[in-house]
Amino acid sequence: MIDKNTQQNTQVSSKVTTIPVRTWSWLHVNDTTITTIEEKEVQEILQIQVPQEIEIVHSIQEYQNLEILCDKKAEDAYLEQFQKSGVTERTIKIPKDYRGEEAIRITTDFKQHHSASIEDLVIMAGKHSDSTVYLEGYSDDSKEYYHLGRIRVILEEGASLKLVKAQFYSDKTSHQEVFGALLKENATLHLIDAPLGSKGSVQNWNIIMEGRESEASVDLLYIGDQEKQLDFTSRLEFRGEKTNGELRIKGILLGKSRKILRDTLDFISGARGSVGREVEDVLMLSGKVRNLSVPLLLCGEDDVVGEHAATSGKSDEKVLFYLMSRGLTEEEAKLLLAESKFAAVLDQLEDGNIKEQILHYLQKAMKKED
Amino acid sequence: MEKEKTRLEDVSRALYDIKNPDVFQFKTASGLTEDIVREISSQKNEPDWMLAHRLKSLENYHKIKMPVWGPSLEELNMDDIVTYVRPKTDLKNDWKDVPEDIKNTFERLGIQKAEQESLAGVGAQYDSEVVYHNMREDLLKQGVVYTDMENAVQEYEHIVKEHFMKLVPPSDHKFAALHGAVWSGGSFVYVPEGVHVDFPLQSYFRLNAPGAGQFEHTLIIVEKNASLHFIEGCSAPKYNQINLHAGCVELFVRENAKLRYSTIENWSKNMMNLNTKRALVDKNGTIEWISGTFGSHITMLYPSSILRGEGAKSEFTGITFASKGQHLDTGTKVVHAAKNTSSTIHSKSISKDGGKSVYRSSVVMNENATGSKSSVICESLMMDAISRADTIPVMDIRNDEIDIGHEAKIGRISDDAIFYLMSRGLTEQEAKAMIVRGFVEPIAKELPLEYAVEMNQLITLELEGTIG
Amino acid sequence: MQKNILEIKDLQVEIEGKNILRGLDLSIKEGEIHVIMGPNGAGKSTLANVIMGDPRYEITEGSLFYQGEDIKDDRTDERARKGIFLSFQAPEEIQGVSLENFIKAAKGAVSKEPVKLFPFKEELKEKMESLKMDPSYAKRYLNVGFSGGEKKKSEILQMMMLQPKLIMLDETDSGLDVDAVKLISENIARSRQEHQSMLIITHVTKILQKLDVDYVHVLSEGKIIRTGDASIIEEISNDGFMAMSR
Repeated sequence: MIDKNTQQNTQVSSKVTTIPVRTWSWLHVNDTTITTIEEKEVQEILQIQVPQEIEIVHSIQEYQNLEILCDKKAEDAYLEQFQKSGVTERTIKIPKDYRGEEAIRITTDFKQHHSASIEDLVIMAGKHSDSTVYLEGYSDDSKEYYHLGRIRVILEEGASLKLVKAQFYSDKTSHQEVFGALLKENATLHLIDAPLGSKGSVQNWNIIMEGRESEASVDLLYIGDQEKQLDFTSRLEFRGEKTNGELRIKGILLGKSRKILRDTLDFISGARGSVGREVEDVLMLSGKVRNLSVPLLLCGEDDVVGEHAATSGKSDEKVLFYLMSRGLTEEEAKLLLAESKFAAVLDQLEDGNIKEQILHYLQKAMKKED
Repeated sequence: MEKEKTRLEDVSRALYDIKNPDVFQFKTASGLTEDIVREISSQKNEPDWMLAHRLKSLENYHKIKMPVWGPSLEELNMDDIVTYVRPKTDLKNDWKDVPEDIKNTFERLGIQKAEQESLAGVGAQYDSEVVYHNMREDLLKQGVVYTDMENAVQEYEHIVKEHFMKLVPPSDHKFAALHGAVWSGGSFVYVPEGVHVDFPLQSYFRLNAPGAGQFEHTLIIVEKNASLHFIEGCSAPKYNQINLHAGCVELFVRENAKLRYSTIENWSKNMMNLNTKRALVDKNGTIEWISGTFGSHITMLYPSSILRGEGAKSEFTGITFASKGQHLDTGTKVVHAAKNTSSTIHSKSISKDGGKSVYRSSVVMNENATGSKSSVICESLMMDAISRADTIPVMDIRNDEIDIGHEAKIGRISDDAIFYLMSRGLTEQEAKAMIVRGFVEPIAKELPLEYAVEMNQLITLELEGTIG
Repeated sequence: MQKNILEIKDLQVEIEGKNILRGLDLSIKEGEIHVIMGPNGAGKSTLANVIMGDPRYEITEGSLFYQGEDIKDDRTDERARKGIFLSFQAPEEIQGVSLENFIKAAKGAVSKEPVKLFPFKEELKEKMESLKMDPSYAKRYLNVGFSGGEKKKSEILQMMMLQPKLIMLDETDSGLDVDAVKLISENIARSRQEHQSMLIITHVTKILQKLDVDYVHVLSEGKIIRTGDASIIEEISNDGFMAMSR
């Protein structure tokens, strides 16, 4: 029921198994807690700006049966939500051979009169097209907004897509998202995702390199601060021959935050000549954080190369000392180090605005530490 | 040494498959009931507290559910398993006195020879009871105790009661509960303060009866400043019915002590191997696990270390080779529960002919593990596209002043490496075998020579596909 | 009359559908030393790898005869056992297998007799000394963590221990300092017996100092475009490869 006075949502929690292969229950890494709402009416907040050659359809009918999310249970729970409360459906069609300078911009910006946004988005990149999409999320600090999104991306043969996602929702906002991508022959996906905001993101990625020689390059940035709980599940599926996938994760944990990341490289039998890598690097800036990593490597094909690496630790004392010997305070030095973790990814962002926002968000989060 | 090699080269899996006729002194009915448990206890003349422990474990067994992760255990039907088979002999300390057929089994497996040449003591278990136990005189004089578990329950009741199934309680999981109810045989080792046992003690477990289970319990306490190398060997002939191994190993490594626990598991391919091994390490103590898993149909094995004392260390080196019809789910768990503790894990696996090898681990750094370090390296070698290699490692870190590094790799033998070796005259088969042996070399060099040689033989046999 | 140890006629070789050798002719008589030079990408390494039987390359046309026999269908190890040896440009690192054990296994394979341990160790020690290789390398894993120079020495050590009939050196001098090249060159010259034939692929000619080169070929765009004696080396360093085209 919507509380008429404050227009808050009534939230219901449930557990779904998000890990591809279960392990010991006492570790509590098999399941994710997801939140659904009781409300039957949500607003259409999603705004899309596209160059004229690109078509937007207010429906996902055509892709109704497209199953590219690995997490059936989470997806089913979310689909129930779509039924219950209504959903904003949009399909963006990037035509064959499209080569535009102008990026497609998709934004969700919660304002006072909003309460919840539930989105079902499909982006179809036509054959040999080359485009850039920005997907951003913002909210003010006035109340507990609810955001749920399903994003499915199809890259047709030879298509190339750079997708930059960043959300800076306020600490009171609930944010959950499932993302699926299907890459056909020779398609290339470059995804940069920075789900920094909200009271604790729950995100799921499933990228299927189905076509021969398709490639996925993914950068994930996260920041855990205060008492937030971050729950991430990513999966790169190598299905076609000579596919190439790499996932690079940089995380910063502060305060009493808790993060769980299950990242999977899954080589299906037949994916001959494929190469996959996943690397997670976590900077822990507080003694009270909880850092859970499950880097899964699943393999059914011998002619592949799969690697994953994970490192976790605090700031290097020697580096801090060096920076301070050049006049920086300890806080400034730590901030510099934290920024340097994100630097390589930030350098790839053409949009200066998003880059600024990310750095600003990081500074804010680190300040809250003191 | 040359002669020794030739002898082992002639040996194939056939050696392990030699079956003795199924004669026994006593055998319980198959299945698991309170009566059967009482029967086992009475056969051993146990003190009341042990019987009570068994019964409580049985209760737990019925209450606890099967694990919802890992390989499917549906082929296991407890109603068909005979939990206790007493061989036609009692405990001897001279091979002369051991019945011919049993003695020959162990002789073929090289036990007597190893005992003479390179061990400080041997325990040999046949089906459910230990048939032979002996240790060098001088160690006895230094106060080292090495005896079978049943004897320990009687003679060292106080210390056994204090430790028995405290590290692996029957409430831990279903097969720990099963073990608690029907355990039989195994070794008890006590190394007093400051004593360094210079040569290894070895216990060998041989399961001969078809459709039977082996539930040996090994309890080792290494006191302050002492050290020991313990070797566990096991095998069983191949039958068409399921055999079960649900043993338990509890290791207590006290302050500044060092314990190395080496195992080569070579169960036959009808075996369900659900073993639980755990070590508790005190201040500055070290536990070294050396683990080679080659046989069995299904294995679930995760030697674990709890580092509760400051500066405690755990080193795990393991190799798993999963071939046709095998699902080997192995790995390790480490809990860093004190300052400045460290762990290293080095695990290698090979999957071939449809075999499935799963590496499963957990490294937990508690809030009080300041200054601790952990390094995990995990490599999987795939030999074809019908096999599987899965790695499911978990790191749970609750302290920022730690250092943890984890690396895993999956791949196959590179064509370039094979071409290079063939260009020097080795056939493709020889080149592959050499590369695979090179792959497992870091483990081989930690094993006593006979085991390393045996392991290389097993690998060669597996690669040739002669093991059925 | 000296026999041809290697006879290649009109060889066409492809890799992954790409044509690399386009009608190559080459004849080497027993005991001769041939040098192959040419611009990068011409096909020099391909030639050596094809003679060694690298399965990635496909011979689409032409013939490859060794000691009068057609070896096109011979496996790599069969060719090794017949006495063909290739010192690789970038030798593989093989974990867990010591240099000593590897050479022993190779020697056993090639000589078809069990290797006598003591004489083997003596010979290995002696040859490592002459190559100025630290004796500890014998126990180290094959090429793992070896510097470029040490890897090349490891290849030449193997060559000296296996005593092949046809020795192919693929840019053995590349990446080495002057002293290392001199040392290797001396060792090759000293250990080489009269009947051993050589096919040397090189950029830097210092390795040829102590050797009596019989023929120098220029390989360009998949074919041999010029053949002469050692004197054309100077021509090449003055005028470049392009000037060599007829």
